[in-house]
Amino acid sequence: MLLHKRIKMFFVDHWIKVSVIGGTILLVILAIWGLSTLESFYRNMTLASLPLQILIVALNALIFVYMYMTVFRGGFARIDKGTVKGEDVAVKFSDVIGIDEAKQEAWEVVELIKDRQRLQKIGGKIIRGILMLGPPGCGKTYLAKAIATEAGIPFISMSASEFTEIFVGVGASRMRKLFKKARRLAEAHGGCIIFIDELDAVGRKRSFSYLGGGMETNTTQNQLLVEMDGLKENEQNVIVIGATNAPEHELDDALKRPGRFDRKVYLDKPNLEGREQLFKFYFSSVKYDKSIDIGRLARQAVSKSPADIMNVVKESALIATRNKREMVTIKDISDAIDRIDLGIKHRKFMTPQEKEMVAYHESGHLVVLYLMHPTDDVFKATIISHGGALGLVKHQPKEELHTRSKDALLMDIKVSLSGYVAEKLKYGTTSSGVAQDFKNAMNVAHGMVWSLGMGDHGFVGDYSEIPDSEISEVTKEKLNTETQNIMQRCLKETEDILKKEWNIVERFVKELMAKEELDYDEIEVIFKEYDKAHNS
Amino acid sequence: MTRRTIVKLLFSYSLTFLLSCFLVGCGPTYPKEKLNEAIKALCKKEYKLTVDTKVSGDTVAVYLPIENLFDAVLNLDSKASKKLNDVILGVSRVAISTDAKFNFYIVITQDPKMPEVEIVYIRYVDDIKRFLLGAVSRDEYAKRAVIAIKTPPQAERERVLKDLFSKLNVENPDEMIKAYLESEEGISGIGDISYWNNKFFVKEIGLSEFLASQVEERIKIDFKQDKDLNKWYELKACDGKFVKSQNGNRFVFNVNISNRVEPLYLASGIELDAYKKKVLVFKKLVNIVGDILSAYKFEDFDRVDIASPTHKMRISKDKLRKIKSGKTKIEELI
Repeated sequence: MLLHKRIKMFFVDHWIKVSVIGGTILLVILAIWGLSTLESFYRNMTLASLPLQILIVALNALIFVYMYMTVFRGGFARIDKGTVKGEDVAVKFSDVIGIDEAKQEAWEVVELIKDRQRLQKIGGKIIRGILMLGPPGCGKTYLAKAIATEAGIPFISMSASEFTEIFVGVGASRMRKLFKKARRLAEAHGGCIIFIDELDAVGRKRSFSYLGGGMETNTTQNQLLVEMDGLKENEQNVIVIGATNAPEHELDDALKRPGRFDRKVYLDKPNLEGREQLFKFYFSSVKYDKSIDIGRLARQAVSKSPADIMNVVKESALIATRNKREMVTIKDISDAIDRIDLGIKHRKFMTPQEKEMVAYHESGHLVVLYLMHPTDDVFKATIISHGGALGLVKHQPKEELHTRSKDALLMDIKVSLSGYVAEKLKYGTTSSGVAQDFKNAMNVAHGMVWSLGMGDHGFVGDYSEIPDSEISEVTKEKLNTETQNIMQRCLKETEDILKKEWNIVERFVKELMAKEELDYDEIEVIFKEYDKAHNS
Repeated sequence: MTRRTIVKLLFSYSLTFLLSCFLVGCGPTYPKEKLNEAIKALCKKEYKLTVDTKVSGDTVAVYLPIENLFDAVLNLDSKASKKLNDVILGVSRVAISTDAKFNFYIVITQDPKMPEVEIVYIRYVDDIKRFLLGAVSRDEYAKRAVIAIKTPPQAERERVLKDLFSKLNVENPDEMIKAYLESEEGISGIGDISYWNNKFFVKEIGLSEFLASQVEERIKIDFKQDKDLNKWYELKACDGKFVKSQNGNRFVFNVNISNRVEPLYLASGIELDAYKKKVLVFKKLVNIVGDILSAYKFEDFDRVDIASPTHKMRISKDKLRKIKSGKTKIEELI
């Protein structure tokens, strides 16, 4: 029965192709038959003129196609997206790694798609839409493909931006065509998945303007809502998967209500275990030094998405190839991470004095960060320029932390001020290199007092939410004073730390002046000399 | 349908089509081994006419008997004309669609009740191809055929021999006459081609003699059609032949023209002097010869001799070429 339907669908869908192919075959047969009835002279005469006729026909066809493509393009509402059969997507659930929770939720969806009839018997309602939310590069598209593969039904993938056009109504028209196509496929194959990537392009909260701005997006979204409601009426097994990295509250409420995108799947950045799995997965396709500690790499890659991790492995393989190495080493991976995180190194010319000042600045950051910061770890210190910075100390949280304690914030301020303090202790004066550090420190201190209630005067609440005109000058003065107090206290404490550990600072300055760049192991060794290492 | 599929389909179609065309287009419709049968069968099947054929070298002769070929005043009967045209068309079709080396064909038609008058139609096969490919006009194509309405020369000879043997009281002369007429010596040129006593008298026609005959025919036609010439002269006879000799190959044309008894010039009131008249005649004759030889790209000759009762002209091949290209004027040769 299904085969019969598929054959019928094939003829309905491809009647033009079938007619053209059939017609051509008939014409070829007739032409050959016609030629065979001619006497040899006339036949040869016809055949001799054939190349010229073919050339003329080809030329005409070329002109026609050119005109069609340039002038008509098959109409503005044409959808160029092809359909991919589920099994042809070839992304299995076992290939999806590092996002186990989302995977579990997606698997349930697959089960529901497969057991549709059983669900209907019980009286359950079919899932119409799944909304995948999360930061970019976390595998939303990949998971959608895995769902299609496991469910074994056709998969139509579109980017929501493909619906938006300058002409009002074109997006809606494309949406209608997309759903029409999906319904037909569902009828023939028992189901169909529509994947709309970057859904926020058509799914943001609708705006209403007298000037007509946003009209196109609105009409496209309205059409999406109508089509999704239409699915419910027809009880067709068409599932819409939308993916976006925009915050959920940015999406229109109508889209999120049950009956449309019934289920939400959150895809977050992978945890330590997930990152380790991802590194193992991506390293399985490249030759690498087996002594590399994957666990340490996973710890180093805190807050990196699967796409970032893939990029690190890809970049490290490129660097290894460039350095004519047979396999990827830890050095290649370190360089790859630096390149991705910090940008390409470029050596700026600096005078020895300037270079030394940068070394003191960075050593100040390094010592305070390593010795005092409760959550962050140092991975690299360098006085080679990266991006706009003359030098930098690369640090990141030791573990995924979703909140910052008051101590951690105060330590952030101290770390920011430590460069300034180191310069002042050494030279009695400071450079313009402290500008960004001050900005960071002030930003944190201001936030602590104005927004987080971490000042000493007992101000509670987020004062930045109150319009400036509604806060009294006295309150402002007190808040600002408190901010400055935090800054001064942090400055004092930083000075104390650095004065106490100045010999370590001097040691790092010496090393940086010699090597220009120190990585995690080298930093660890120096601290070990002073019996200050974390792992000692 | 992907681009690759479309390309594959197009490629398959084209290959199948070209292969089929190649297979279909390979063989001749009328193979040389069955040439005689093919002509007979075609005339019988398509035109319901019975013909007889004979191949002589690269020349094919077809005999078509038509009752009531001529009417009471010896004009060609319209039904007979259609039958003749049908056979000419049939032979032409075979001639161009065979692998036989086939340069000329001859169609001879006679009324079986009156075989003393016959029509002989000779056509060069390449002319048919050129006409079908549009290389020559319909008018030119018509002029390129050599058509003669004549008494079979063998009939003349038979009559003469009968008279002779009768006067000599030779017993049973028919066998001797038949033996004589059937010998090859009886055919010396295109003019001797005929059908007599149920026998073909044909020979392999050479292009040179065919061109000589065609020039002869053209001179006859053009003298009638050219108003200026017709005004002054009357063409009594024209004879053309190609002569091969140690002194060189040459075309020889003898044109017997005479002044009109009552010149038509009186009507126009203009009278040309003798020199101008001569120029007018020879200009015409040389142009006809030059045009035909050049049209057939015939090069295997050394000179052309043209003779009239009043003047003879000998033109080398090179001179003829110069006259044709306008580098030499005919006046310089007279």
